[in-house]
Amino acid sequence: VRALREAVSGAAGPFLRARLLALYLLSAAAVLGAAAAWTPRAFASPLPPAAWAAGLAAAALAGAAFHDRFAWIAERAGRGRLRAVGGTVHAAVLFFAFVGLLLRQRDAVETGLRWLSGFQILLLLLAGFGRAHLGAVLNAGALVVLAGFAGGPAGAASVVAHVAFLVVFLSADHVARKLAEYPVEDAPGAGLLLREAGLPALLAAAALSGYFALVPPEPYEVLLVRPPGSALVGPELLTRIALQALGIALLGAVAFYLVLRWGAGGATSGDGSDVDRVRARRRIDLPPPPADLAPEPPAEGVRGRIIRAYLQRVAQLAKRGLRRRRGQTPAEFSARLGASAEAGELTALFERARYGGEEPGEGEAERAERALRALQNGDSSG
Amino acid sequence: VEPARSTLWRTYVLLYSSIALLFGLGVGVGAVSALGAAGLSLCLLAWASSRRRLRGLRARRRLYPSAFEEDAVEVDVVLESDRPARLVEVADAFGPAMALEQRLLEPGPVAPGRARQLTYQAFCSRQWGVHTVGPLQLVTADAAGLFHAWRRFADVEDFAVFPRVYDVARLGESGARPTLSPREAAAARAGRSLLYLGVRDYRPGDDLRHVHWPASARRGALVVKEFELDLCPYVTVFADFDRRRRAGTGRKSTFEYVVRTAASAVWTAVRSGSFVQVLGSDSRSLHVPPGRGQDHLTFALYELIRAQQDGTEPFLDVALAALPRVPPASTAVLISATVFLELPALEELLEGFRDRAVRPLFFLVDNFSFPAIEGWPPPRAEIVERMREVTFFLRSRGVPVRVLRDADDLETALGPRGVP
Repeated sequence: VRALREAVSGAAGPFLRARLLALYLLSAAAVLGAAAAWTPRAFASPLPPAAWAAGLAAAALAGAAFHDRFAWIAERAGRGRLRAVGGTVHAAVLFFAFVGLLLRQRDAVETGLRWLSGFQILLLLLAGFGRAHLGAVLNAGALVVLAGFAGGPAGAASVVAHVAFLVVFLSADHVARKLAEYPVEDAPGAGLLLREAGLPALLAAAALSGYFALVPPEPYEVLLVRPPGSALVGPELLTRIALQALGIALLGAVAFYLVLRWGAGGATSGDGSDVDRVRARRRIDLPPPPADLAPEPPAEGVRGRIIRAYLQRVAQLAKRGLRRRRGQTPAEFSARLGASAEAGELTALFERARYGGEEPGEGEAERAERALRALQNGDSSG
Repeated sequence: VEPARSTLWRTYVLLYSSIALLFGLGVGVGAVSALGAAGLSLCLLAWASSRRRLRGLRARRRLYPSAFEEDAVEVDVVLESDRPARLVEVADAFGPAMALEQRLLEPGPVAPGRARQLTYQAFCSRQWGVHTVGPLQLVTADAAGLFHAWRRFADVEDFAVFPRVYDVARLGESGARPTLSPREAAAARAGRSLLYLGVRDYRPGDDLRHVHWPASARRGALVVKEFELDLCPYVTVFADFDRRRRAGTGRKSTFEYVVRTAASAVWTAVRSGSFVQVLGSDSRSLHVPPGRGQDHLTFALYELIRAQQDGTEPFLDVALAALPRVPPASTAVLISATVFLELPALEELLEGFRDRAVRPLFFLVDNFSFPAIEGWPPPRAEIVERMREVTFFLRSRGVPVRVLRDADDLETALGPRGVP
């Protein structure tokens, strides 16, 4: 328990826990949904589903608790090699299950489902280690597709639960990663997740449930056309299956291209070493921007000409590294610079124009502009 | 710029949903096609949500525009939002730092109508010069982090990084004029300073307020207190930017050594309360008028880092021409980018200084100790001979001189052990 607590501590702790929980629920929904859709007889007794749920929970918790102690196994064995072997085995089982499905071999599908459910336990264990989240989600997705093929209320429930839990999982993963990536002073609580992910998940689940209520999901046509147990597939059905497979492959290739072209793009320099993720010190609820640094109010006519001349000078000095500090009056700023006669005159004219009650005359505006020109000439010659 | 991880999940969801939709439609399985359609709809909503979260978000930076090399600088970013905002990433390009971008996270919530100030610390790791800071960028994502939206604020400003400076030894003993206005520097001569010097016998005309009554009582005659003399130290820094003295590259170059030494001299002088002016022999005839205090230091350093080694006039000619600008009884720090100085011109310059009671201090950067970038250096023996000649010439006239070579550490060379 202590190891588990340590594994999910830190700023991202609540979100790591939520992510693990969402992944567990996602896995349980996929495994139990597929089992309920294909082998409803197994649900006659509550023991098998409970055993699956407990097995998945134990895997998730064990992975999180012993993640530090067993991480070396993955490192030693070589992550790439493990991925290659696991991916090949997984693909083979998927192929076996889907071919069985297309050829109406129910036993093959059920065997494939059992293998995939077993994989889910393994992948959940690895996910607890902080790895293979994608593998667990991908495998759950395959199980849900197979459940969808079986149709019926169990298939529909499996799809609804998968979408809802996927939204929660992705949201928790997003926040956890952000908080782990950046050092932050005070991290938000898990309530953020409820606000951010809860509503979209509920809406998605409600929309899908409504759709399935209106259009109940039917099982795959092939399973309906021929009674189970007939030995051979006729040439007509075989041709149809082959054409369907070809069409799906073509459409899939187009979708794959489009997704990679438009969906997966984007630079990744955010993860590069040329980016420094820094801690931000926060000052909460600042008063409105300080008036002395805020832009001067717009002024019209002669008054505006004088103010603009002064502000132009201030901007020029700021570019040269001499910036008016907060709380510094124009006269103080001018005095600190050991300003020349022109600068002093410009400051005085500005003060009268900006804060004085009387409207300045044309002559004063000309004097201000002359002083500005003289200062600019002094800069360029100096 | 998007984090790679979100791209992985986005790829997965888009790919999985597209294939499920096509597969479901292709084989006529409603549940699978609904699964795909739901996934794609969520992607669409996520895309719209990421953009919606960016609306009404604004950011601006507050930063003092200069610092020294290797300084840690605090940069304030003020974040404002018209609606509650969460998990906002702020990216700022702080030019003087090695990292191209500084990123920080505001977990939120940022309340509407209020400003949230985030302060991050960056380091001036790059060499001195004028760098840019900005633009600022805000990045938001949908709840699931599938899509990111960003907005750039054209908030680019110049940031001056000044060279690291060192205390220059013996500049504290610089020339100074007596003054009646109170100053930090004072000499052990009778004056009007606040610093107590001693007592002496009363002379007619002495201010009675200065009578030291206990001492007068002991001696039986009036004794008055004497105070030190306030001084107005004044330093003129001459920097040699003659293009013919260019040698070496980067941190090991004559230009670098001249700028760093000049900056150190200005820094030391300003810190000791002196008036400082800077004159340079670059093509724009660098001239920082006399002044004192922190702002003047900033101004002088800013002008120094903008200097170029593109002057065409010999350094001593420039110094001779600027002689009227050097006030009497002051200090002149001359930083030459070569040891090959013409002795007659040097003699003339020293005469001018002597006439005005100016105390000169020479730093000679040995340009031949740096890798040559044009022409061939003279034989080493000739360089050594010439160096000895010039340094002997200066020292024999009581002028402190220090030769700086490429192997020298400036901190040591300018310190008490470096300057004779």
